[in-house]
Amino acid sequence: MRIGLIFELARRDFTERYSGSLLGAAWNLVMPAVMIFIYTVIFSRVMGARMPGISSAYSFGIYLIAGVLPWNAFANTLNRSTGVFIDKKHIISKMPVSLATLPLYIVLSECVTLCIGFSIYFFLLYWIGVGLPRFALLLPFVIVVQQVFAYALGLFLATLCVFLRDLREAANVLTQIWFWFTPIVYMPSILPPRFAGFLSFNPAYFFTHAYQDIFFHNVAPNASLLIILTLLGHGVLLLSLWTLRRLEKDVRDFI
Amino acid sequence: MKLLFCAATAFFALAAIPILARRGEKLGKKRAYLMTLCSALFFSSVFAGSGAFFAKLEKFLPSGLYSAEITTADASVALPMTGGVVALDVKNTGSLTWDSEAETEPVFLSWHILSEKGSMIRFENPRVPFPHPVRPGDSISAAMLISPASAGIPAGRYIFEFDLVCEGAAWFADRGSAPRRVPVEVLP
Repeated sequence: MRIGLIFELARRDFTERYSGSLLGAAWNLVMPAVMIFIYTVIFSRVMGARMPGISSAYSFGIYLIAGVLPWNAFANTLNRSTGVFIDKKHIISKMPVSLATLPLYIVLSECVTLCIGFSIYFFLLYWIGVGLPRFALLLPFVIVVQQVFAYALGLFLATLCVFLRDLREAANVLTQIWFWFTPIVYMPSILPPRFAGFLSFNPAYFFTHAYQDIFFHNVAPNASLLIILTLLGHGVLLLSLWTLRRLEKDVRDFI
Repeated sequence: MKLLFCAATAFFALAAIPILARRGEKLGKKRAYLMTLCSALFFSSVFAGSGAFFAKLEKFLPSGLYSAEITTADASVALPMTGGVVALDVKNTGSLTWDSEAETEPVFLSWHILSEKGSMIRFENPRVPFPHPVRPGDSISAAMLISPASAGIPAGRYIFEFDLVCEGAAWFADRGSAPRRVPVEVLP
C-alpha cells in the first residue's frame, strides 16, 4: 500500500472533520484550547480543586490535562480503528489496499490532534510559570509507543468487527469503563491497597503515568513500565498481524 | 556503558526498519513481523537508556527558576520531643529571588516528615521565613525550630526532608531542585 494514500486519508480525516463549518479546520485548535481552559481555569481556579501535597493553584488542571489529552488520542484511535474496515469498505472493495496499514491514517490523524493539544498545553505551562518539563524530549517516544498499542488493539478488533459488528459499540463502552479504571481524574494513591495492585495489569496506566511523571511530577517516567508497554504493544501487534493474515480473505469476502 | 549499549541497539534497530520496509521483498510475509520486532527493540532500548541519557544531559542544562542547594553541618540530628533547632545553609542556585514577604508567591523554608523507610508521614509543616530577600547566587544560614510534639509524631527514628516552597506555585523539589534529607531521632 502506498504511504501517500495513508497521508492523504489522514489529511482528509483531519481537515474534513469540521467541513462545512465556518471555522473549518480551526476547530481542531479551538476544541483542545477550550478543554484545557476549562480544566485549568474552571477546575483549578474557580472550583479550587487541589492535589494533595502540592501548593500550586493549577496543580489539578496540570495533572488532569497530562492524562486526558493522551487518553483521548488513545481512545479515539482504538474506537475509530475498530470500525475502519466497515467505514472504508468502498476503498477496500475498489482499490488493492493493505488492510494492516489502513488504520494508520487514524493513528496519524489522532497524533496530530494530540500534538496540537500538547502545544497549547506547553504554552499554558509557560504562561503560568511552570516552564517546560525537563523530560519533554521523551514525549515523542511515549506518544509513538502509546499509539502503537492503540493501533495494535484497534487492528485486532477491526478484524473481528467485520464478523461481529457489535464490537464497535462494545469498544466504545469498554473504553469509557477503562477510563475510570485508569488514574487520570484521580491519583493512584487514593486507591485502596487491594485495588492499587490491579494497576500493574492496566496498560493505559503505564502511559498515562508516564505523561503525569513528565508534566506533573517533572521526573523521569518509569522506564520499566514503558518497556513493558512497548513489549506488550508490539506483542499485540504481532498477534493482530497474524490474525489478520489468517482471516484476510474472509474479511474481504464479508466486506 | 549502559547508555552506549542502548544507543547502539536503538540505532541498529531503527536502521533495520526502513531497510526491511524497502528491500525486504524477499522476506515476503515475514517482513511485517521483523519490522515489529525491530520497532520493539528500538523503543525498549530508548526507554532503557533514557535514565542514563537525561542524567548526563542534566549537567549541561541551566538551573531553573526554583533551584536551591541545601546543606547541613550534621549528618544526623537528635531532637527532643519539646523541640530543637536544625541549622541549614541554603544557597540560591536558581534565577528567582526568595522573598518571604512578597504579596504573591512568597518563598519559605519547610520540611516533610518521612518514616525511616522513606514513606511520607506528614507533608505539610510550618513555614520558616527568610529574614531578608535572597538573590540568585546568595547563601543564607537558617535555624529551623522544629517541635515533634506539635507535629504529632511519637519518639522514634525519622527522615526529615528539607525543601523550599514558593506558595501558590510549587515545592522546589517538584521543579527539579534537590531537597536535603536528614535522619532525625526524636527523643522521648
